[in-house]
Amino acid sequence: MTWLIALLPLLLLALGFPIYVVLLASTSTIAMIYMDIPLTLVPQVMFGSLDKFTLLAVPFFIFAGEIMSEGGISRRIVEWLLSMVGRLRGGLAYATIGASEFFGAVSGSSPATVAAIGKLMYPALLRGGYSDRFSLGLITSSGAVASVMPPSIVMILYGAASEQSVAALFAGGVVPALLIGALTVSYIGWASRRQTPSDEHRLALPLVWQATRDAVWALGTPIVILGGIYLGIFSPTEAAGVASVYGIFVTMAIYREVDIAGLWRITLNSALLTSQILIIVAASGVFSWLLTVSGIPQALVQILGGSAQTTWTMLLLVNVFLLIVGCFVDPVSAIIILTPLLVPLMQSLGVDLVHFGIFLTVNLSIGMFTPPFGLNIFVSQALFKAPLPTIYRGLVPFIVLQLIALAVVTYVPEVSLTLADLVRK
Amino acid sequence: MRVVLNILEHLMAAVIGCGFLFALALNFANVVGRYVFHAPIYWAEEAMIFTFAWCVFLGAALVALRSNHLRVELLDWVLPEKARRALAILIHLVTIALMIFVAWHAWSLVEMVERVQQTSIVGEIPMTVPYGAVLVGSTLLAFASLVRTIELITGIEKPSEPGPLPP
Repeated sequence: MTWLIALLPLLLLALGFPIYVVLLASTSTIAMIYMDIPLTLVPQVMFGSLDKFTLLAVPFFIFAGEIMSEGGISRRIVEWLLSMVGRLRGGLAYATIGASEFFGAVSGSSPATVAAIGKLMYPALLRGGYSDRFSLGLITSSGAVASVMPPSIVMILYGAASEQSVAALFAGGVVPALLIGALTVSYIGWASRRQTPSDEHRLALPLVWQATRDAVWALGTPIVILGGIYLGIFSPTEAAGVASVYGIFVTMAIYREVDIAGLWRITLNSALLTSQILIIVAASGVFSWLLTVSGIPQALVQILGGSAQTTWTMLLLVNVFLLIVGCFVDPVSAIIILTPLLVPLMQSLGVDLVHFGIFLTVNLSIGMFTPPFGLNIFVSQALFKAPLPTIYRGLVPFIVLQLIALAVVTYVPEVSLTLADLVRK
Repeated sequence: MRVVLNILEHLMAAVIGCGFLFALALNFANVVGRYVFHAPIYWAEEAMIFTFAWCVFLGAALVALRSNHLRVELLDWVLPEKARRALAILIHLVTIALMIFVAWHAWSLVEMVERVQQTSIVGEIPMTVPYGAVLVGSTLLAFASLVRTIELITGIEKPSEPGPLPP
């Protein structure tokens, strides 16, 4: 039975079955052959896995991100950053990083960030004299920070699956996200040392003031979301809902860039995105129930624990494994499937589960732009009509940078836990 | 056939969209109720979860009609067109069988909670509501796969719409 539990899902996954079918079909088959249980448990557990208030943050944050990227909020953030750093050597590249961090603090989606920021910055970067390869690498990789910077869809799913506080996970993601940004900024500083700065963006205080005034509603969004959570006013789910209403207000009433038809389109889009994710969560409940009763996670702990590895090498192995998984499977599916499997292992190693959630997120966010199947790569390919080899080559330095960040986040727990502990206590 | 399908798709989209906006409004009303009027809506959390259960299961069927479910697309890159089509048909046939299996047991479950008149703990909403979402959703998922199978076999495919981007 153990072999079937391990091999059947892998086979179906490789054949290209939808993830929710992989989970449901393997569980149902094994339950019918080996177990004497009432099968009404299957639909019951499917709904039971969705029956968590925390998970409602997923649709709300998706909606908030969608309406803000369509309603001119991302454009204003980009213009605001350009008004300040556009004149510097490497300024356009800095603005891309800054805008991705900012947009990540509004949206929890990595490809949406690539699309929103990339559409605005790619033409500007090319006009500013950056090579096609560098621009594509920068844009494709910089979206990844959105799933590390709170709010993060991936972290909500991890929190729901591992019963960790989403607020603590969000807090834990802030420093790692800034660390990734800082590393990238230093690399850009070095890479653009011989570049002539663009004349397109003059640094003038009145312009900065105007851009700030124009962007003030956009800049308020992260404050509404994170401030609300950390002042203890809202739960993450309520904050997500309030951010959505704030998004509707700003884009429809203040900026007037979204009309009723637009609102309906954004709502449907968000609902379908939500279904794509939560149907996997529903199916995974049945699968992780099977894992638990079969005792596979515990067996894994015993086998790996008995191999006398140190925590240090074990974390290295887990990270390498996750990086390989991330090359083929999207972070949402990976986190839903792997959390119940890996959490007992981490507990046996004495790794803090919030810390694990953070480096798991950082790791899988790298998978979004590693060849061959990182989703962000295809977003760039589609948006900018760019050839894949150029994107692949452009990504290399950024992959190295983020691997360095991953190592720091994995082996220095304080990077994640200092802020998270403030929330937990 | 196409006309019926279009009407069904629009109907599902309308239910999902209204459900989504309803949950959004309810969440906001609850927050305002609690902090401004000190009167939280006690049944709000359950109602939101049940609404989203319906949105998710109906939405999943709509996503299936557009072949947009998350999956590992490894073989799409290496298989020739014919083999890819055959594999896609196989996947849909397995999905149909699986969803009929889920719908069958969801039906028993709905019947059971109906018999014992089981309701939710706080809002006393009948539990046939959330379990009904699983029943209707799995039935529609089977139907969606059937439609896709027919489209693949006859070669009459609706031009695919660009899907939304998963996080």
